Amino acid sequence: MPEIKSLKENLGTLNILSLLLKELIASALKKNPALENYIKNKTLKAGIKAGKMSSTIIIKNGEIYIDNSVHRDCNCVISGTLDGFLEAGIRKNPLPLILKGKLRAKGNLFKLKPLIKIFGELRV
Amino acid sequence: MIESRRIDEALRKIEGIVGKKRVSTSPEVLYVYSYDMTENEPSMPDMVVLPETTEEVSEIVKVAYELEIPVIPFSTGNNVGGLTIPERGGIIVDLKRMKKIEVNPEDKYVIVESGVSFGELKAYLDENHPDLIYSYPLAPPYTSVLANALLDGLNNLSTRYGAMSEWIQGLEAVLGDGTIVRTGACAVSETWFGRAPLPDLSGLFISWQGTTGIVTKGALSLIPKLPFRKRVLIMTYNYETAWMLIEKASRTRSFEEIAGFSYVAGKMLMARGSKIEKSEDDPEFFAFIEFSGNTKKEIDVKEEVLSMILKNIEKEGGIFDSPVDVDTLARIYPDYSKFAELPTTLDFLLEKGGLTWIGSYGPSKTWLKGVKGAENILTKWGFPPFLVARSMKEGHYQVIRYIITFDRTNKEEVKRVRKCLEELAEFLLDVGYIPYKAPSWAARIITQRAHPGFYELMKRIKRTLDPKGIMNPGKWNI
Repeated sequence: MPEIKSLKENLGTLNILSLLLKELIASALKKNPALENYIKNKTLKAGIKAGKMSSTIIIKNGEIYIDNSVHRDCNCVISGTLDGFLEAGIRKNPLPLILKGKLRAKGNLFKLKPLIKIFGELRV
Repeated sequence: MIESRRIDEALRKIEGIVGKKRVSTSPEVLYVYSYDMTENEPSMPDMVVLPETTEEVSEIVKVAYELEIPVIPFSTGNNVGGLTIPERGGIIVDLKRMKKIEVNPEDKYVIVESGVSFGELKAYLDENHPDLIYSYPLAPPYTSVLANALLDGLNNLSTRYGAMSEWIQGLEAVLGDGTIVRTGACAVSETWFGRAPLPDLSGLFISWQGTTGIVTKGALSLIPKLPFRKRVLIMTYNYETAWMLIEKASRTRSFEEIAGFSYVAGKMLMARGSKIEKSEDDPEFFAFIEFSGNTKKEIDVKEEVLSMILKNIEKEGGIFDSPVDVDTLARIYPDYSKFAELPTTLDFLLEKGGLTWIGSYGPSKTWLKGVKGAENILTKWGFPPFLVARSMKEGHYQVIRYIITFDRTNKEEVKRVRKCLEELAEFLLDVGYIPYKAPSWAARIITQRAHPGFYELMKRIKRTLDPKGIMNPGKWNI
């Protein structure tokens, strides 16, 4: 299982959202080890704004990185309440949440596919 | 140091009471009773005995009384205050074999013996009386139910009902000369229905840390379990907002729990072993609000009340994120249930080997000042400010508790922990907050500051109930 790497040297300086995303991605990869192969040729830089916190998830060369704040060169940015993100996590299809305005998305949404697939593993 | 002659004689007599298998003077056995997870100085006992009945406890104390040997009651040793460390040696009376549980479903109370743990009580109620619940702590399931109540702990229903001693309806205890006594209605009636209307003698054993007697049995209130329950997490970005939420929510009488942690708790869980630092956009405080109801509609109404509070806080400039459903969070991120389902084992707190705290109860008026000042002290001594807060008894008083994890093998760090805690205790007392489950060093500070009449009364009571001063000596500075 690939390690979810932090762009911060000290993990303790990642914000709560980044730490939570890191944990969630790690559990998705643990649940479905085939994802490791799936992300090998995927590239993504997605910004997440949940409430007043923000993070960036980077998928590149089969590795996953996480960092605080939304990087300027993100392919896409999703924003919403933390509760909205959690609801997306337990739903089969998060699209209705975007349509309802609970989550807002900006940028190239097609690029989000690997992320949707990863988080899809967490559905309970 | 107690003469070996007296210990030998006590051993012989106590073996006659409980048999040879339930008493030991072996150093390997005694060692585990000499310390706890805190920074408090270890000290070896001379003997440990495991009674099974109140009568056995009484006979053991009679021997200790005759030979003037200290007696230290022990249930699980998880008090986080050095309260069972035998400062002057003596006999540890380990109550873990006293495990009887008896529920009175009509009058809604449970009689538990001192060895019953939260995990055992919860399992018993879930299996036999699923319609009744007790209040549970942010502590491991193996901690003692009765010790928690006797030491004025705070549990998940304390926002509504206050410190856990308020749940005590009556006690059975053994005094310092071996006399068995009862307090509360059970002293007169067959039913342990409450502390009224008799003179309230249960207080002679509450928060006394075993210095007036050994409580062997107690009746504790149970409350009906309502079919609907909801818990939400609200992150606030400063303590001013946290306080607005605690204060306003406490005035509604709608919620069973209004509590929270600083960001440090969440980060310790998710970034184990790392140095915890607050990032720019981290929330300062995680507030937990819990409510229950007989119908879904009742829950909806309480949610509406909460939403009204949040709108008002927003108008007043509060900064927070919208509520998160804790059950959903725990479903997606199961590790989070460590904070959501009580009792709980916060294993990440024990990774360094040492765990200590200063917990205090005090007035609402100075909560904010207390939290901010305490954080400055912790930061000064190099510890992340792990705050636990709770509104108590519908907001009649508040909790400020700081948890410190440390390396027990590092002497410099142990010294720094103690200095930090002492400064915190002095500061908290300055703002009207009184440490609970006070370790000996904190008890000295408290009694020095107490009204002279209060301290004199404590000493008189102690002399009356424990004439030879053998009950957990060294505690409470008496």
